[in-house]
Amino acid sequence: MAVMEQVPVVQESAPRRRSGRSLEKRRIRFAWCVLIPCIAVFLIMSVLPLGLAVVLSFFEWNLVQTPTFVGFKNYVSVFTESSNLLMLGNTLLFGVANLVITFVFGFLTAAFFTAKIRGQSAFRVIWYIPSIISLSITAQLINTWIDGSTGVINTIISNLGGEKIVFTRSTGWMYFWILFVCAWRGMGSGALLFLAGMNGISRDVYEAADIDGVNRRQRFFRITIPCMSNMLAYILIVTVLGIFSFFEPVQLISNGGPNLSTRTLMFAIYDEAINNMNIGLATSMSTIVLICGVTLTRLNFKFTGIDIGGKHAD
Amino acid sequence: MQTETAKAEFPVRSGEELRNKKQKSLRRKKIRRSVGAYLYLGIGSIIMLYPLYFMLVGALLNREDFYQISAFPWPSSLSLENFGTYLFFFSDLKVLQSIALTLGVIAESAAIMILSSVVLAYIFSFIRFRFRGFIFMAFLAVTMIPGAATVASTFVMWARFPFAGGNNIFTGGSGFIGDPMVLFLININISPMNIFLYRQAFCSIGKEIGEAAEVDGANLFTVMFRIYLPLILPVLAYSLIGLFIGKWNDYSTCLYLMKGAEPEWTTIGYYINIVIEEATPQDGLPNYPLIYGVSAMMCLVPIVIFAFFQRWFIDGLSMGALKG
Repeated sequence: MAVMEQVPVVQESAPRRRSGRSLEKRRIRFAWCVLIPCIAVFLIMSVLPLGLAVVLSFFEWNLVQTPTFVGFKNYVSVFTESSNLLMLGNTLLFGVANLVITFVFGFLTAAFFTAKIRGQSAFRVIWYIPSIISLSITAQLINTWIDGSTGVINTIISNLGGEKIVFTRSTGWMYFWILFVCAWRGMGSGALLFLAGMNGISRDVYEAADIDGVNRRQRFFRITIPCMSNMLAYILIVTVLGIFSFFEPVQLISNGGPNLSTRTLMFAIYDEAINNMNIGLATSMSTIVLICGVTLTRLNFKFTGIDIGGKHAD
Repeated sequence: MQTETAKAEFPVRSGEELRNKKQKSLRRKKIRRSVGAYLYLGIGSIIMLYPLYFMLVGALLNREDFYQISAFPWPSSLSLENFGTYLFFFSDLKVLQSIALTLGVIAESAAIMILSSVVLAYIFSFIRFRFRGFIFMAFLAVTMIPGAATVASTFVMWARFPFAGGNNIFTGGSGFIGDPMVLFLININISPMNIFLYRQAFCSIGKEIGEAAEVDGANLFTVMFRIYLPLILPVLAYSLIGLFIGKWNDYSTCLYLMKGAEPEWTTIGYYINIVIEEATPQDGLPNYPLIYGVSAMMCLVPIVIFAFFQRWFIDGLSMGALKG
């Protein structure tokens, strides 16, 4: 068989190589013909806004009058004004809380997802449902629960003879409900990512460990975690990047209140740019996001080893 | 085993007993573990489905029932009228207009996404040219930057788009803000994440099939769309479902860019919030059944799609996520 196959190849090799080379040239020309317009569109739609944000952050502008150059004034106000400092603190707080919830419950749930029980795939689907439901609808649902006078929770409380809670005037309750929405939404999808990481670990490692008489704690800390470290880094960075997009629950449930105490970075950008037309301040916050984003993305590439041209090249 | 049976009878039995005991305790451990899993996942599932239950049942209640609501509501009397709140979503003309607009936006962005991603993924997989790695990396890196970095400047860009919506070269009018056109314009872009996904799928297929077809005289588009595309249908389905659900639920795009627009000219993810606000008066009881009815329908659409394609979706999810 092998000899039969080889014969025609040897005969054809010379003309085929020549046509292959011109084919290759045509392919490269085709590639550039497609790429150049694509790069142009990408530059306008994705890169230009980034550059524009950096430039506008040094100006004071309300979209109508001519912009005035103010240097670093916007950045100074982001890092010194008390309401903005509170905003940065909130972003950090929500971020850390979200991170802890994602990792603790994500791991726990993923561990239960690996249990060999009946109906496991149904459980996985059910746990994933919250993350495909509209975030704004979830927030609106919470609003119908926590409304001060006619809300479901207060109706139940007053029917039981208790005193109504004014949720919307309490920063603590606002924190709670915003985090509740995020935890409820992110738990299943986070767990599936952890599960993908766990499934990536070879069975052989565990079998070998069983033979050596490794206990469950050692199994977890010495095998599971080190073996999925790349996945953990990926989840960590994606979750941290997600902090910056933390917006809809804040806008719909607390609307930054009470007294601007639950604003987050994304909400502040939206509020300053679209409601207050304070473009300079909004874009300076955007630039802070950009700097953090670039740093984290570089880390992400490093950890997850997206290696273009190396590992995946043809 | 062999050596044990060779020994005297007595020790063998004790060994078997020991093994039985060990197996029993192991089995007990296994049962305990699966009971724990059922408990955790079961309680969790109730929590995950509770809001959905609340919406579905809340829509069936009468308005007055909300003065006596409990944590697990159930309609006291049911008539066909109660189901009208569900139907509102499919019969109200403004809602339908908004849904039509949403479907149009989805169709447009899906067409752009598939066309650009398949061609670019093929180029990045199988054609060697200079700066290939650099360009691909740059695409990916820029898209990974959170959207918060561009919200304000994107708003400025569309508001001050030259010669649009009453603008002179830079100022004057409101540009594209509030114009439904902007919902279509923002989709004209490539999507590097999908290129990345498709490229991984293409690379796992290999370039030999395409080369063979090309030698036989097929042109590049035939190779891409007739040979490679059918082979990556699961990945394609995954990205399409993701796109559909994302656009269907999208609230913030309209919030940023459709300020001051006619409400029914916004996509459904935003318009439903306006319906809900309209059903919530400043004083007095909000129209809760209506709110829950439209919310439930709004959530059911992605759930039904997800239920149909969940195998592909979860496969794609773990395919898209990097291997640990």
